[in-house]
Amino acid sequence: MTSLDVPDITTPIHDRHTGSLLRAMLVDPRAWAGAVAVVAVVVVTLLGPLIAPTPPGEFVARAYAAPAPGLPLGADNLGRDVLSRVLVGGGAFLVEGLIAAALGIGVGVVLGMLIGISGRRTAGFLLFLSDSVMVIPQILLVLIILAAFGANPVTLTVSVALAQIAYTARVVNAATQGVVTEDYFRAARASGAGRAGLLFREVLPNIIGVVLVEFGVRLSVCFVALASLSYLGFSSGAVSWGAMIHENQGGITLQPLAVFAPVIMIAVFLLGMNLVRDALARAVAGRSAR
Amino acid sequence: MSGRMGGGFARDLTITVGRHGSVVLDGTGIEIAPGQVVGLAGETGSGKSTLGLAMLGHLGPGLIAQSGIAVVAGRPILDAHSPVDPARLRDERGRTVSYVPQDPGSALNPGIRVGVSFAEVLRAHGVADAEARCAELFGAVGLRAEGQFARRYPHELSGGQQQRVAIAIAFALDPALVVMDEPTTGLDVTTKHRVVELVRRLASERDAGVLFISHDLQLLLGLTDRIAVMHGGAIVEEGRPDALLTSATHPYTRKLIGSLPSASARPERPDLESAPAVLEVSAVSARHRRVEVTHEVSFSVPRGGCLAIVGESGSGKTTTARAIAGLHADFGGAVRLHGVDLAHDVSARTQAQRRDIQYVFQNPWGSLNPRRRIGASIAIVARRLRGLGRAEAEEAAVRALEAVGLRADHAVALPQRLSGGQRQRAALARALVARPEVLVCDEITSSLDLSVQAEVVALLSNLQEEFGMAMVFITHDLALASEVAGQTVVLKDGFVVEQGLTSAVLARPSHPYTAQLVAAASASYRSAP
Amino acid sequence: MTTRERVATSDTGLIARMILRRVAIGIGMLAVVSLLVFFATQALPGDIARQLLGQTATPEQLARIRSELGLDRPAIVQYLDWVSGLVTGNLGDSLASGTPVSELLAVRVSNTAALVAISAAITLPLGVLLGTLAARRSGSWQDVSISSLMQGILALPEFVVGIVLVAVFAGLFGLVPPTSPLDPREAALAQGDLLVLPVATMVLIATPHLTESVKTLVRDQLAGDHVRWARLSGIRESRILGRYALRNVAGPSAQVGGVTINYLLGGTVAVEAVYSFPGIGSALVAAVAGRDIVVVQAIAMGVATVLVVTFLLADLIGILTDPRLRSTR
Repeated sequence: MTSLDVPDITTPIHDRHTGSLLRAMLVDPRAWAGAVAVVAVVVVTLLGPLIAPTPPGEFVARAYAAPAPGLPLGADNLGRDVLSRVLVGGGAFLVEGLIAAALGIGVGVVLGMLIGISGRRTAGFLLFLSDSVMVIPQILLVLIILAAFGANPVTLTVSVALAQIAYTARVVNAATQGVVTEDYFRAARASGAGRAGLLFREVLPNIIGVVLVEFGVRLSVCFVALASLSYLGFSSGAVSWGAMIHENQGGITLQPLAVFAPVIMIAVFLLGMNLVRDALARAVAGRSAR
Repeated sequence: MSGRMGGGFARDLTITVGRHGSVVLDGTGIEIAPGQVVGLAGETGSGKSTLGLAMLGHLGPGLIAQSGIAVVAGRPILDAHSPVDPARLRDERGRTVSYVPQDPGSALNPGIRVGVSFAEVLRAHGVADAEARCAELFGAVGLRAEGQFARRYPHELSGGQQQRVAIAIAFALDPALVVMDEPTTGLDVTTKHRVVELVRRLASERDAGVLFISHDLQLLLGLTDRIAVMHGGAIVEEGRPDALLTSATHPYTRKLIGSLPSASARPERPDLESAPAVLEVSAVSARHRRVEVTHEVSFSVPRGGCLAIVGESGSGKTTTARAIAGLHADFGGAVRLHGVDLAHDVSARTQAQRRDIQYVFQNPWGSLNPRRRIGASIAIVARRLRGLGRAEAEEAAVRALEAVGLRADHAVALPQRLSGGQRQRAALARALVARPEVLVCDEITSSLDLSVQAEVVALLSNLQEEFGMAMVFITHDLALASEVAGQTVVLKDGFVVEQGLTSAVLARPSHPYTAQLVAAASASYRSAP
Repeated sequence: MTTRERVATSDTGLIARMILRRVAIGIGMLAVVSLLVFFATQALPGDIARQLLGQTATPEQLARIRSELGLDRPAIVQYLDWVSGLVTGNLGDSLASGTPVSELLAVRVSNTAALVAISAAITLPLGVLLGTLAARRSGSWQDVSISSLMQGILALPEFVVGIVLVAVFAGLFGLVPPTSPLDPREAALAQGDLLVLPVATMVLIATPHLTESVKTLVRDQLAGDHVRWARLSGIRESRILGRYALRNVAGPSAQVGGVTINYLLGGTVAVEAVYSFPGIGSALVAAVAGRDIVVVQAIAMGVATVLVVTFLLADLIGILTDPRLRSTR
């Protein structure tokens, strides 16, 4: 044997992938812009109840009163302070969205991986079931559940979470297929790895990028769904941004701020999330391209 | 066509990545005379594809021509200093210089019939009589006999037929030069040789120059009029095949020639006939989705012996290998280790049985978990199968790495940091760390460059002796089998058509198919001294 | 090898078998949806009676209404009864008003159908066009700006898009009415001015997904080996786009088109709320608020049926345009 095909790795070899996603995002201006937007909305929502000038239910002026000193955003359809209502109207929305997305993604990822490693018949049947669920528009799926159980924080969160599972399972199954057909997966099976070992040591580390991006997608979808539901009249808190928009829509020409203050909160938050998620997707794609 | 200036040449071509990036072609050139087949040899990344595509005026994304020209039939196709008019270049492509892609399966438009694909090229150059020419060219590449080929879709053809269609399209307009980019890569040995014959015939009949790019020096030796060897972006050696074999001067060329498997110089293994069988495969009929793909395959491997399974893709050799390892569970018949029937699925076998049969996969790019360090991938096997503790397993991993010629610090690398040859060594180390009785090697050299291939084969023979393992060596290459295996089983369409000592199989093939394989293997050496 | 050699060119028998298979799958999906809808709404909580009568109802009253509605029978009997009603066109009576659901929804169905049909007729070609343009100029400023705009719209809830349109076109410019209270005595199509904003909103919310998907599909084709070889064979770019790229994305684009219809139907819920549009979406919201599950069930099954048929058509386009789908299996 003349040359051993051993190259110039004389310098210590570093693991380059840990934290590389975060690092890629830290140098991405769009990720920063998105993160600032999201954090701003979250901070306002967290501190809002502490700094709201008046209780959100209190009548402080005539209906649709224009902005005035002491009433910076004017009054709503019943003469309540728009600023105070915007400050307290986002809390339940943010918490429910986060929990719904986490629930949906948790169940969806496990289900998707299980479909991915199960036999052709079982996988085929489970995919048929998920296709059947996906044929119903999401909002309709959620409304069916709400029709049966009524709208409260738990039913809202759970129904929105349930509506995500089939989608996540499908995405994760596709990614898992990519791993299962690789020889390193077969090698792990041949060395006696159990089902949990296969899922969490072989599959999950290799699809983690997909899972993160999918989590980002599900977060956005859950927030959109919850905002829409609250606009349609199904929300848990006494005050919510979506409901505010609905209540004040009739006075949109008289007192546009009563509509646009919550619209802006929702839009800034969701657009910010979208920027962060896209940056994450770019980082993941960039990593797998290496 | 009278008075046509045939062939083409490139001169002083320097191509870089971006304006100041790394050099892909380093002031190199080549000449292809009409009717001549010129081979362009070299390993992955040597720049041979870039040179081939430059003959078509195509530069890959991000590549810039800094100097030089490429000329076909007297007309400039690429000129670093005065850009070629895109409309004229489009017209020259397909008419004056044409291209045969590496994988016609993906290069033929999947949505249209192959005859329409043919007609599209004629139409683009304003040639009308597509149907007649199609019949003529399809006949010339030997597709006529098999019926209505023009009306088929690409996926309805075999790999060899797809490649014939691609060649027919490339010769459709009687080009002066045809660039063929590894056109035989996915093909079986026998198909490969038929395609090569076809290329030779078309080149001389139609007076076209052919630039035949391949990493397979063996193939080029038998096919070409001249061979240019590329290394590091430049042609380092050029000459007639026989001259190249006898008097190559460049060290890289000599290394390439030295690593050619030699069909005759087979080490005679000690007679292992009498040794007890460690592995028995008994009437294994494997199924894929209820379709039987192997038919009662039986053989046994003596302790410390090596058996080669030779066959083309689709012959069922990998399926048989996977059945042995328990990775393909849907089969009838039995696999026995030390006389004990093994469960069909690997998860139902005992830990000791899993340990005793280790499998090395064909593709080193997929067989190591990309998110785990090499050392951990090996150590985890030692822990699972030998029950070692963490520290012991890590030490065993390092020793295994050293045994396959890697270094201890490769243990902390992720697979992406290693070359193909190194990864295949690491995969071997992962198998060896289990201390197996039987090592199943599934085409483990076929995705490696030739010189690396020879190293891995040599390593394998050493290791087999050192560890006293039995080995099942899967390959499509009879010559390679003769280098490592004392016994050979030849599979065709799932049937064993030949079985016995390798020397006997080579010398006196009893089945016509084996005879064909032997002929194909020795044809590569027809110009060898 | 044997499957490859098999010639399946324009084998009508094979195509017919494949279509039948798809139809069977579609019916199976509807069966799953019906089980889901029924057991989510009726069997699980199992107390429609209390919802109807309120918390003050006496046990006798509850028992009487349960037997009137057949709720005291086993769930499976109720389910089969409900399904056979659906199949024969009997959708049941509204719990809230007592009128037959078919009567209650007739006008609304035609209104929503007009809204969705017009929106789809605009969205489908528009999305394919924009996606193709973006794919041809992948990475250019046109691509990036189309893509950012689409992503931005895609990130927002439908009702936010609707509100912005109302504020700009109805409020600021006064061009069109801010709400769309269609007259039930007239056809929706005859009240065009009332359809402008709802249709515009629907188009805006459904186009981004289609555009992005078509872009990816076309871009992948253009980056494929067959396009590279076509270029190296001197085939013109316009021809490459048509025959080598767009032709091959017809099947997958049809699937995305099906998803677009799904978006549009889901979008009606919020869009109809924004414009007070008397359609299925607003009926659904009212029914959910009033816990009128008979209406909810009927709407769910109707929407699911439309979508199953839509995806069936998309599959058909795939089978007819991709020869590979015709021969494997």
